[in-house]
Amino acid sequence: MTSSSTASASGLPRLFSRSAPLPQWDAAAAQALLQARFGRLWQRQDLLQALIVIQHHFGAITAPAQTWLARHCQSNTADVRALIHFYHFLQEERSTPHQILFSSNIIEEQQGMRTLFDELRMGTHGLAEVGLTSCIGLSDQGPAALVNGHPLTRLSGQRIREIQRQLQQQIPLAQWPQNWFRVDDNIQTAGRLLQFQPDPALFLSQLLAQAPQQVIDRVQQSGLRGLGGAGFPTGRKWQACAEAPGADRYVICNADEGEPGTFKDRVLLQHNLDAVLCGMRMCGHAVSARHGILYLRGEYLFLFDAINTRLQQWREQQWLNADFNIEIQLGAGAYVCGEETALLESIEGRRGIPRIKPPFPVRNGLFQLPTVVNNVETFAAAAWLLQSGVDAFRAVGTEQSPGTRLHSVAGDCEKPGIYELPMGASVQDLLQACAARNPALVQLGGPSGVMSSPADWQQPLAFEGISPGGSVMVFDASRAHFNIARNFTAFFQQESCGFCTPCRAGTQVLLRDMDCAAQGQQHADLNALATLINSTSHCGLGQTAGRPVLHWLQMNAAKKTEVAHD
Amino acid sequence: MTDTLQFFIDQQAVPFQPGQTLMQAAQAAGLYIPHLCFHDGLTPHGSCRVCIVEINGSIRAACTTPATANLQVHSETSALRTQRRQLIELLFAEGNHLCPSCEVSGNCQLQALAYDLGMTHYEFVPLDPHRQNDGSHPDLFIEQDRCIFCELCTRSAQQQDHKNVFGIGGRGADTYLFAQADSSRLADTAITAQDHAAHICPVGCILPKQGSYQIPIGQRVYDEQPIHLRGNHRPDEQDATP
Ligand SMILES: Cc1cc2nc3c(=O)[nH]c(=O)nc-3n(C[C@H](O)[C@H](O)[C@H](O)COP(=O)(O)O)c2cc1C
Ligand code: SF4
Ligand code: SF4
Ligand code: SF4
Ligand code: FES
Repeated sequence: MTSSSTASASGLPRLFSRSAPLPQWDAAAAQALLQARFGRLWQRQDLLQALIVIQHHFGAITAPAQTWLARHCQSNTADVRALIHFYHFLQEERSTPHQILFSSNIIEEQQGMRTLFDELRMGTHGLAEVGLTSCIGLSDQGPAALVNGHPLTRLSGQRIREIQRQLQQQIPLAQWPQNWFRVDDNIQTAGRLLQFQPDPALFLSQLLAQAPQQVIDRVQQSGLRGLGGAGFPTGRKWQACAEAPGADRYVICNADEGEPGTFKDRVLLQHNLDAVLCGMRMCGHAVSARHGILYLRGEYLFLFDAINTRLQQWREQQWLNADFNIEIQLGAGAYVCGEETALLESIEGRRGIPRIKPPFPVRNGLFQLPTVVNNVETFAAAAWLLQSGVDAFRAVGTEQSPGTRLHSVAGDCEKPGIYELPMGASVQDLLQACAARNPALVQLGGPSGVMSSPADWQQPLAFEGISPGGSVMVFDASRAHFNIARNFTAFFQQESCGFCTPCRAGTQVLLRDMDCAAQGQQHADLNALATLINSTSHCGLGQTAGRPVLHWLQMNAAKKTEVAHD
Repeated sequence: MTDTLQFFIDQQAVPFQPGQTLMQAAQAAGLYIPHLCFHDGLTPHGSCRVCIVEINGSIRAACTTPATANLQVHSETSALRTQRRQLIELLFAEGNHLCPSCEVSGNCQLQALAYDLGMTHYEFVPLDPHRQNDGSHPDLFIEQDRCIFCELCTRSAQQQDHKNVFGIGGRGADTYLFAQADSSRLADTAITAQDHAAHICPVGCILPKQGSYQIPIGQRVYDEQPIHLRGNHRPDEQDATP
């Protein structure tokens, strides 16, 4: 067997350890890997998960692999390729054992990522595939990149030259210095959620002593709202799922965390995993579901073995059992799969195309069965409130947004990292806490959120105030707004799933024509086009894809009037 | 009070049955809402967005929105007409649509909607795609650069012909149509020229190899009547054997 599938301390095969891919397709090795991954016969609905394993171990899914996979699940290779071509981390060919993808987040771009990227690409010609990928959730310790799926943090010119040397000397990835791969928590302010380390045994006895409806009532009374973006009341979601007819139900933890600049869920999964698992278990009890799935973004592959090991320990302790089990499913580089119905499609082994709503997942979810999809932080907060009580939960935050909120802070500040603050804290509070340097613009909630300027910074970060989204990007006065808007627009263009006209075609035209506008060339009416994309798109991705351009145009117009009035 | 359910499109009452979408009810009532990816008898899709309507200030696709009693729906407003035209213009920019040299000119639903919505020129500079064409099948030709990814063909093959013929692959700007075979060639699927799926493409992407120019340009479906009166029809749709 390969070094990459040697057993870990827990006896589980380590499926995604750091390694160079096998040079050649080997059906018997693939068979063994997939047996280790699934532990059962796999079928068409598992194809994406199978592709991810094959990609990691062989570096590509080549023609013979495609044929082997297609035969196994009674499909054809064109169907297999259609899936490969959707997910950014899957590829048909691989020219070198190493592949290095730089995170193209605006923060890292402003920290000199392009120079490092060019330098590595020039210096490693033919030794490594060097490319770009959307934000990998490490902008507090960037510039960062993924080498064969594993994160390299705090890149510098010096580090790039060291990496070149490793590549030239053909040093196996497993032997690269461990500290190059260090991922820090960077917890700057730990509130009650980040300090929450429940004892699963105690938590479960407390949970199972309550009737499912009692648990749902608690969540309803707490006023907890979803922390994945939309802020939907969590108790109402659970109630709707519990009431929906269905022979079986699913609980899904959305750990896709694709919004550029957001990394709070990564920290929770590393630092408070038991709290997240307790929340999932709790939801399973509340809605009478037997299956839990944690959908982990491909960028967080390095967390797979740790989470899997912990799940195995939970099973050994009977905290997970036939009543409720949890398994991990991986993403493979597609922001849209964070949208809850695209996520369902992805788990069912298809391209991540958002479904028509209604029906909503609580009624027709995974395999058409009633399904709860919640964010990582939502599950952790739910577990906290069950253990500590509704009054304690509501004692912090605002009337309409009770509780605390994790903020991922990065950009022009002294102390990037995670800040857990009561809901309703102001942007100004955060800027002070992170020691922002001469801030001029602050993006809240990632590219799909809002761009704020000093006039907005006294407003509360809460559902009733300015965006409570989990990410805060700080830009000082030297940062050109156009470059920010362009980076965000390019992100949406690259991540569009391609299903609907305005987002698929519109973002391409928008990106091209904003460059034309910047160069003084003929261009379309950007305001009208961005508005069209926002108002007519099928899902939340397209419905926010025009925002960066609109914010840029609005602030530009405001500046011009200011100048005129001076 | 009557017990027929109804909602309103531009103040006009439209009866509906529970479970119907706005589009299905409108079509049954003989009211035309511009559309490309909708086809009665196939599952709703919602990808072209040409059927946008306004409900309580927000924009929805009529083909995927369930009808509910007394809903006030706005359709023929000038703002919606403009946005529909812009969507059509985006489809023109994204594909390779040079109507004067196209076999389906005059029979094409995209072109007919462009006329109907007052498109007079290329508003957006074309993106100029280069996708793989497929001439492998004895009776059908695929000119991919005109595909608008409406998936009428994929749905029609599955739901009417009960065959797995077409699929959509890739993502975003690199989305493409493919044939469900190891070779990705249409000849290696089970499709025949008599299938429904061979007679449903609203544009000139899936083309019959025989008989294209029998009816001269100038005497074709939408030369006779605009699409809002004629509806979305292909001249050869009867050729599919049920
Ligand atoms: C394009 C797009 C990407 C999204 N990405 C995520 C994500 O990475 N994580 C997440 O929790 N929710 C994401 N969402 C929101 C989910 O659709 C869903 O609302 C959320 O997971 C529900 O969980 P909550 O109620 O706990 O917030 C995304 C939505 C859209 C439209
Ligand atoms: S808005 Fe964009 S991401 Fe969403 S369905 Fe349409 S093309 Fe796909
Ligand atoms: S498919 Fe329709 S719109 Fe495209 S070139 Fe042909 S006639 Fe014109
Ligand atoms: S080939 Fe025609 S019917 Fe099929 S998706 Fe493309 S445009 Fe639609
Ligand atoms: S007809 Fe409704 S979106 Fe295409």
